[in-house]
Amino acid sequence: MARLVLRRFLSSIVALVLLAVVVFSLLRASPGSFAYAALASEPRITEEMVKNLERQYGLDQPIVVQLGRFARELSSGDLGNSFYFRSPVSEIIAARMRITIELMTGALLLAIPAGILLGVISATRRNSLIDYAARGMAITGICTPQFVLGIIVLFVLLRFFNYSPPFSYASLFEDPWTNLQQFLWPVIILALGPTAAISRLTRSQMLEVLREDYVRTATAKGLPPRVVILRHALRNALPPVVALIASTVGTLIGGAVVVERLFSLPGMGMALISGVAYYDYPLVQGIVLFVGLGFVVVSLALDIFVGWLDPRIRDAAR
Amino acid sequence: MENYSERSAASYWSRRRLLKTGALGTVGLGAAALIGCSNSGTSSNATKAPATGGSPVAAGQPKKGGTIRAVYNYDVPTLDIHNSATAGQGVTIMGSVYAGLTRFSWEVPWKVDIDLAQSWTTPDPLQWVFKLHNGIKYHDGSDLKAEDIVYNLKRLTSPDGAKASPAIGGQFAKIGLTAEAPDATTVVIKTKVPAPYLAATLARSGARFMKPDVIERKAFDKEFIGAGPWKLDRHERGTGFFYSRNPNFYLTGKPYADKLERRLITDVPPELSAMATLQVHTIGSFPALLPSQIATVTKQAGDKVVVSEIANGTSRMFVNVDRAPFNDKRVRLAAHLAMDRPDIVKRSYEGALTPGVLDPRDSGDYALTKDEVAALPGFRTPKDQDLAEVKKLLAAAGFTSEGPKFTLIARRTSLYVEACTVVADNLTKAGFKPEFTAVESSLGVTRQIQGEYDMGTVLPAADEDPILSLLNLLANGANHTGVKDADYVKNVPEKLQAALIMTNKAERIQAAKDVQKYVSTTDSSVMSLGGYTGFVVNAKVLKGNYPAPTTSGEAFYDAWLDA
Repeated sequence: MARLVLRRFLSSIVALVLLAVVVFSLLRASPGSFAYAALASEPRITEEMVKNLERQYGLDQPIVVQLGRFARELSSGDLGNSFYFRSPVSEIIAARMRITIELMTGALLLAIPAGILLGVISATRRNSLIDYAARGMAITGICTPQFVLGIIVLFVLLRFFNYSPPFSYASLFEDPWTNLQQFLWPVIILALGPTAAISRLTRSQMLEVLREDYVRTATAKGLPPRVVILRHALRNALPPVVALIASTVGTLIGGAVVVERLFSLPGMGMALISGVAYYDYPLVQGIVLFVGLGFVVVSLALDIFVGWLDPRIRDAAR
Repeated sequence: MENYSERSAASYWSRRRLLKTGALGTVGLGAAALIGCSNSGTSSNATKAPATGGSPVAAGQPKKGGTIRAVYNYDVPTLDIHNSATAGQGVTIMGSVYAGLTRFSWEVPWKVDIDLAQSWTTPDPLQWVFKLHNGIKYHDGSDLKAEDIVYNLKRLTSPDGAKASPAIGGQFAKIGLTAEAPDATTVVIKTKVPAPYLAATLARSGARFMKPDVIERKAFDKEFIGAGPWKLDRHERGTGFFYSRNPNFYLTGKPYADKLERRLITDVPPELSAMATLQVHTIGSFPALLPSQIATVTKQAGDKVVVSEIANGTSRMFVNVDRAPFNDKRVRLAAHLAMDRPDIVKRSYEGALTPGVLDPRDSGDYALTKDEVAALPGFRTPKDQDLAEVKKLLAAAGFTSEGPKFTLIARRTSLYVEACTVVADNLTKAGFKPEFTAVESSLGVTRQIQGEYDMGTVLPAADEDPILSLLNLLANGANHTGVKDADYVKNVPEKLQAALIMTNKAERIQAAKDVQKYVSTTDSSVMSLGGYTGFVVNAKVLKGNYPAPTTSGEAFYDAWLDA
């Protein structure tokens, strides 16, 4: 197991370095720069104005020099200063990560049990009304873009209930009631896609496992159906589902960008939008790397969990 | 010398507000404009207004206390009020913190009122003497002196200041503005050429004053010490601005509310939702909202909200004259003629656009009348004559079998995209081959600067002076739009520069009208569509908050909560 963890840890470091280089390069390869974005409201912009700003932010230096500076800062744990927010990127992330983490954690806490439960029910009551309903919901959840769903939710709440979630952020610890009202709908919207994906995969895995001999044996031995499903079938159906959950963590940040914007939650997603819109290289690099790091940590934890669930994986790592 | 009070009082009132306020109010204001509000006149006409701000239009006795909640839609790169990068949202956000010598009235848009100055005189067209209120204090309790204002004006007119703020500092530098402070409460401004619009330019948020010490330390993004009605307590970039009332404000007793909050809501649906459920007290006209979007709010909130209409800038298309096909004057004129303004008004602006070059609601007598506009090529109906002319022009330019191909880019703002969609459709019907692309804002700007476009669009706010508006509209609109044709240069930029320093209003109006007619019949690089109507929604409980010009922003001097 230790070997598995070590191997995953080393490959994660390589992945993070690659991610840093790719994000750095992609940002510089895109047309435009912070200077253009900052001057957007000028009635007439000259090349001189652009060059002055680029000089001010060190963007006039060769890419290799910029990459060297970025690597040097990164190796000392410094993510640089945001052009747009005019403060250290690490401070911005520290201030905003709790919102995004609350949103993503809420979505996962909702999506994982709901998805697994729906998948199990759907598999064990195949072709029943509940199966059709769960599959219909899964398809809707996968197919509906989050921004569409968010706008629909906002207008339905407004039109039929004359209600709108509060738009002034309140901390979970200082004002839990307002916080709940703020996060309830964004969490549901964010959770819908993962719930659907988890539910579909759980269903197909369960259907496969339920046909296995050892499940039939367990049933023939007279074990109660609940024990057969939970202890024998679900445990063996779960490893691919756990792997899916790991990849879901990465995609959730994309959803968080949309949902935070629609519900005015000042999290990392909102900062990322500003960063992209203003070509704020340090901010985008910092947030992407932070999310990458989070993804790596969660993946590592889930790998260990899958290894615990399935001894074959542990053995394969030896 | 021109009287800005007359211009605005006569021309700016929206239909809704006129109906609401009624004939009595209109007559009263008209009379005031004629007899008392002439600030930019001779010394004998100098205003001696009491230090209590404008006349109270809001019904009822103002109540004190409460928190006014407003919205803004995007953050700005700097909070330096003297940097034009703060244009748009920035002037609104920081305009509440700082005060200037003059300000725009919030009762009659574009009318210039006094602010820190209790009066001003103009002994001659090249000299302005501003007398300050006594005992003006900054937010930190220290005294604001005339020499501080001189310091701020010097900053604006310095080469760096002029570069950072072309519309204000640059304009001041152009007219050779210098300032001095003979005593602690007098500011004397001298110009090398007459500048009849000076009081109005001084009323823009970007001409307000910071404490010199903050400027010297270059701390304007961290410390916000001014003499305006609101102290900025906290700024969370990406979240909001949080203010408390300035207890030292020179207008004793104002502002009425205890606190002011401006929350960042970047998307239209949540903004409408927040207004409809009265989570915020007001949503402004920037970015521009469409009538159907406003209807979403009024349908839900009913009589709990009040909608005001304001002129919200002039929508225009511009073309790159440095490359084909619009380097050919015949193609430019053909494009102008091919645009079907009534169709554009109907399909992309939901009727909230008044075709023309200058908007009469902003520019009063300077704008062409509705009949004059309706007779102009490109604006007239039916369209047959224009389209026949387009065919001839394109054939003469060598486009006989296939029309000119070109790229049309719009920055990804719903109004720009919708307008360009209809314009592209109009031009396609007339034989052009446009390739329309909507791009992200900064990418659009990049392409514009680098000349990687053939046609684009923009909807800038009006300037404080109609001649300045025309100059910015037609002569400085965008990169790669400078028509070098001798006739054009003589009839547009040169004529407008000459009109800018004219002191005779009739001559200025004539020059403005001549230019508007000229550009509508010739090969201009700018094709004006018309003046856009903006909407400001106020909760009914918010009293005394009036739509302000975009260049000034809402400062909530007089606003109070009736709750």
